[in-house]
Amino acid sequence: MPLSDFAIHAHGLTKQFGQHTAVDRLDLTVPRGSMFGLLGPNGAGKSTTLSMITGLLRPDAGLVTVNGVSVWPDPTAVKAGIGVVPENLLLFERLSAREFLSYVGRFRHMTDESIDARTNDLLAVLDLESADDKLITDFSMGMRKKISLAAALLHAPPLLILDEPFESVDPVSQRSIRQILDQLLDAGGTVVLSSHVMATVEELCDWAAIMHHGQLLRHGPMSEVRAGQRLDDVFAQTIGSDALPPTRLDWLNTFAAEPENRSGAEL
Amino acid sequence: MIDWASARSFIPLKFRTITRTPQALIGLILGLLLGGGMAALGAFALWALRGTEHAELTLALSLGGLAALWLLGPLVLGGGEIILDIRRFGPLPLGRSTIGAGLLLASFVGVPAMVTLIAVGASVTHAASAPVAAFMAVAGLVFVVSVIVASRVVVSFMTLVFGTRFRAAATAVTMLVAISLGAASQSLVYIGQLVSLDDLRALRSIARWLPTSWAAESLALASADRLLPAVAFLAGAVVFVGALFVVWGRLLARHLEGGGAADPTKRRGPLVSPWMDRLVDRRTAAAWARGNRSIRRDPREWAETAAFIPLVLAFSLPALTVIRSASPRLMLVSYLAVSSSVAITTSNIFGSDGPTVVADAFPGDGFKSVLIGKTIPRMVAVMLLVALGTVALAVFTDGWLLLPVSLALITQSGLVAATAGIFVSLRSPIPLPDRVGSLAGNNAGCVASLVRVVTLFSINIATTAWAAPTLTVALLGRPLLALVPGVAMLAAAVWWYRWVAEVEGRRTANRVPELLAALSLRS
Repeated sequence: MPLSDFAIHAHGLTKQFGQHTAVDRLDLTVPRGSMFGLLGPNGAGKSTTLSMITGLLRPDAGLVTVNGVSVWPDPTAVKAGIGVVPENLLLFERLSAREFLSYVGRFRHMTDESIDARTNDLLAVLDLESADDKLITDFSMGMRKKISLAAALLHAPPLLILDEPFESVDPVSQRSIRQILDQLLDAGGTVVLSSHVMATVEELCDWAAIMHHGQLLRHGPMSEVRAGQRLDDVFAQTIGSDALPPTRLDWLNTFAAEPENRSGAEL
Repeated sequence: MIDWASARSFIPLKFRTITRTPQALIGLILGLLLGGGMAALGAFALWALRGTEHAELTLALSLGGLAALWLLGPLVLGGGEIILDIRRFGPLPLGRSTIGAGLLLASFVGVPAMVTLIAVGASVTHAASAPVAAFMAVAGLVFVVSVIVASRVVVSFMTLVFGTRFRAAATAVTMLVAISLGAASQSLVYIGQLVSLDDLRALRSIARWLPTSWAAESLALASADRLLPAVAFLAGAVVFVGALFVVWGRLLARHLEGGGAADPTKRRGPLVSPWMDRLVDRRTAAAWARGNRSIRRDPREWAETAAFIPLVLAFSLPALTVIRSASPRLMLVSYLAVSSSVAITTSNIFGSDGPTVVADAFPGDGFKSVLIGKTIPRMVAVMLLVALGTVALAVFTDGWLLLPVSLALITQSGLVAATAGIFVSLRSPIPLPDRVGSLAGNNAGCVASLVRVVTLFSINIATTAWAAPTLTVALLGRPLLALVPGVAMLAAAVWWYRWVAEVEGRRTANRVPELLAALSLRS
């Protein structure tokens, strides 16, 4: 495929924190118009990878292009064409949901009319209308996710990169978010999401990648990654943890022999 | 290239952020009244002193002091990038120069900028002629820009080093600074009696070599019609501002590229140090070690522990300044600071880690170990620092003979206050919701607030009574003999502390659901 067919193309992407290599010479391609699921256990390097792709964390080595534009020479230009829900939701805590979206829209050079209309739509669809005037500092985790998603969608980006978008979000809103993502996809957009929920990724995504210890272990169309199995089975096999090692947690069987460990006696 | 439309949007963003809650609005209005009043007073003083050496000295030192506040203020006052955190702009298509310009413009919103502009404006009106006024206007502008950018550099650097904990701490520390200033202002009278005009001249001669004071020095010199040195200092200030912009630009770039991201694999040492296990039993050591970590990591705990600093200032500064020659026995008053501060830090031991009481309660043990483990770190942190202060007092007052008995008094006061803290925490537990500072939390309910005020007063009375035998012997002129009642009362304090922890711990162990209900009800 020519490079222009990819929404994201990363080559040799590497990031180290001290002695720890969070992402190790990662090669990743995301085709335009795909719904791409990035999977991996905690600490696999998913969020670090997404941060490097979105211009939020400078890689130690490697190249990454987004929509054909190299990210690190000019991250500002790349950010203009993407919507991001990052891992750390750093929001303006002392603004209300509406004010927050209003400022994000201004920073993206949108007209006031457009900001107002889209804010109304997004708050309604994401069930945040009742929190219209509530300060973000008082939001629940799920509401913070939703307002962050609204900010990422406000300028109708062709590429949406979402780090755990369904985490802490109620089922009704999850449904709404899926519909929004489908709509974006139908219009020719691309969505990249990371998630721990296999069922969600299996249902939504047509491309997937599995990361572990900073490396990409599987990568391709969902049908190829699954290879006729359930995604969670493939995931467990890929990262090598499909069963608890029999030698671990042996002490769990010793409760009958050590009743004094659970004594309620005061010292 | 600067996107000025976006940069200008930082101004209303900052304004909305600092006026969005009633508390913030009241703080802003009070700040404007206080800061504006002080600036107006300074302007009047300058006018009254015009034509004298005092005017030039006042101008140089007050603007130099203002520059120092700009440098130090953001570290503790929750200003600058704490309000408009650079990383919040990360996902937006804003370049480094646009964010820098926006932050610079936003700095003109708020009390510090207003006070600085009034001060600079007043100094310009002080000029002898129109050309000098024009020069001073330029120097004033350089001064304003230099203090703002210097402040930004400090905050950017500190946020890179300290990360989110630093920013979270700033809000809690704001209140402490306000209290400290209140306490310190009581000592200004004493300090004022000791400072002569020569001291101020010496201070200026030192301050003028600090780059942050160069623009101020230029203004002061120009106000006295000494234009040649004024131009030299202004040139230095302009170079300094240029250097600051370069450094700030690099720091901004580091922020925007994820600088300061932590190593997720960093390993920390064991929770419980071996020496703790040797001093107390395993469960108490665990609670003690957790308390130590909490004090180090939770800004709200820092605030509670640091709350005693103004008290120590209030007690020790007068003793160190005016009365230091009067009587070395005055160092004995430091035990009152200990009792008050330990009372503050221990009167809400479920405060910032209220939810963890479930973890403490779950193993089904009595609460004695938890209570002792929670109070020891708070007590030790305060008592060690006050003990250091007392040693300093001994040096200044030559009161070495009083030092042993003074340390005995400090220890017993801490124990008595911690005992009362345990009692109040269990009888009137108050949890603190996330992002609420401890001092604000204590005022969450008027009844709880009243309980705490009465407690602090009662604890001071109780520790005074407890210290009375030791104090009486010490003040009658036999400092070493006072060690006898001192040690006896210390032993009694240890026994009292352990006994209350035992009794209250046993009582609480049977009432954990009620304790949890009280914590939930008030959260």
